[in-house]
Amino acid sequence: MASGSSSAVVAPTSGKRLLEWMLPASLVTALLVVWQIAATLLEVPRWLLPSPTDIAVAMISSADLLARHGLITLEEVVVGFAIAFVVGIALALAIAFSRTLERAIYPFVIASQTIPVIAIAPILLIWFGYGLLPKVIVVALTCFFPIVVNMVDGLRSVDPELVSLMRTLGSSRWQIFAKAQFPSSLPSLFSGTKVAIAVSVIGAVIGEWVGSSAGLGYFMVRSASQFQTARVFAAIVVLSVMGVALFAIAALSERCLLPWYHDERRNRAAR
Amino acid sequence: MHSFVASQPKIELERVSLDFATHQGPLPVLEEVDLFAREGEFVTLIGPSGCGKSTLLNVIAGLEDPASGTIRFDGQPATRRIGTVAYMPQKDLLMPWRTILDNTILGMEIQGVPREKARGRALVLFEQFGLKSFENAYPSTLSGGMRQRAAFLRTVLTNREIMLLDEPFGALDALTRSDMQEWLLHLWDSLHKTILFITHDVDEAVLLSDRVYVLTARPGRVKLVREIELPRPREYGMVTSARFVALKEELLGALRDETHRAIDEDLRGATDWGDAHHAVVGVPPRRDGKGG
Repeated sequence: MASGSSSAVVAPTSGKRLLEWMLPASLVTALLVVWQIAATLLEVPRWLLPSPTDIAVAMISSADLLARHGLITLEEVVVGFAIAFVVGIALALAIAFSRTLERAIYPFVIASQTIPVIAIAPILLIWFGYGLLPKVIVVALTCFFPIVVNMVDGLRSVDPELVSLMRTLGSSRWQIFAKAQFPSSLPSLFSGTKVAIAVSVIGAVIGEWVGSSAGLGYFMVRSASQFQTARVFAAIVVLSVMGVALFAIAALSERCLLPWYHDERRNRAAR
Repeated sequence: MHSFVASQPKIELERVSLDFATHQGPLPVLEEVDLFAREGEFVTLIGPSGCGKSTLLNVIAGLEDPASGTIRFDGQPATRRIGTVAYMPQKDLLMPWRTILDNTILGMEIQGVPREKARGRALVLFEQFGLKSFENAYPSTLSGGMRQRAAFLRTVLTNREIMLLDEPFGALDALTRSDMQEWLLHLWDSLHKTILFITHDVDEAVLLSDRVYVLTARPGRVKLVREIELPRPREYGMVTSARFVALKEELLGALRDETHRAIDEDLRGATDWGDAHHAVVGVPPRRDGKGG
């Protein structure tokens, strides 16, 4: 077995890659075509279920509105996620390194997830008004949990035999953390990050629904109240694209920052 | 020759005992183990599974302290041993996020050697360790034998005088294993290290060692000490010589008694029994393609 050959053996040929893209693409296309035909033939009213072309028209005609509100939602998501990322890692380190802190912090971390965000959002509205802050808090609240839980598991997953080996090499506690424990927690951290990013957009929209004067959630509420259903769908499309794009960024940075993890999984899959 | 007569042993264990705490009370694991290795000697421990061989290495490495008894390095009682001997566990424990080169310099890095300098020192040995052109590969792309050699290079590069090797070839297939034994034989002549080695394989023990200790089933005691007076340098072809076979039979006899006792006393001891049984029924020594 040679390291150099691994990419040649495992990398799919361009034909196979094309097929991998073709299948989901044709599935989506087929779905849209059926939807379009059904909506036209059955004469479903537009306010009830707009056809794909109605939605496309709505996206184009209200492109400037979607962009403006979309950017606001994106800002809430990015700021909220960034706060959740930093706070989540800090909490995970505290939980993993101190039994006392674990007992003090973990119940609150879990409790924070048992309360529906939709119930907290109005309170945040009362405290912080209609601006950016309450939405950022809602996003952070939805995001931080998967980051904390995965990071804690990752920090604990370090091979105890590796820790013993590090000790026999004369490592300090800090060296064991920095050279063994932290790196071995990174794959879990990235798993948590990907989950967090996927749910972050939901958090932002819920925050906007409850009370706001901007953002795609607000745009959806306003459009729905005017029975402009095509616009609601247009906003959903933009939100989906946003979520998928953010997820792709997380997956891509995992690949760039942990090239070994990518290799390892690929080699395991190839065996 | 690597071994020469020194006045005092490099490592000396005197009546070392250790118990594990269990729900039923203390479980004796090691009982009054006496053992020594002179400077530059290759000393092997064999014994049935669960006899405390690995625990004994943990004690010598300083990961655990004996309940009673004395451990001396160079004649001095060694109470703070952690970080003073090189230890190679059964698993290669290569860090998947480090390249092979950076895995091998781990020990030096922890000792504070600057990375570039450490890498330079490691690179010189890559050819001898059969790792050439894999410097920047990640461990997941290497075969079992290569990973084991990388782990061994990491152990050698800690630059300790005493090396503890816990079944370094245990997880390898038969062919790779005999390759590695032969490779280690040749390498060791140039290493000038005192080695304590654990194995299940009696052939391996006789071939590599200056002295072999057979431990009893739990609690581990020294059942037999046998000096291996075969001439050095050794080579794989010796496994068929009359003296080799006689030594092997003596060790197998002692090991067989203990293996059977271990199975009778503790069913859990049977988990790795396959290996020992292999030796008991006398599977002929494996030869690699290159000849020895």
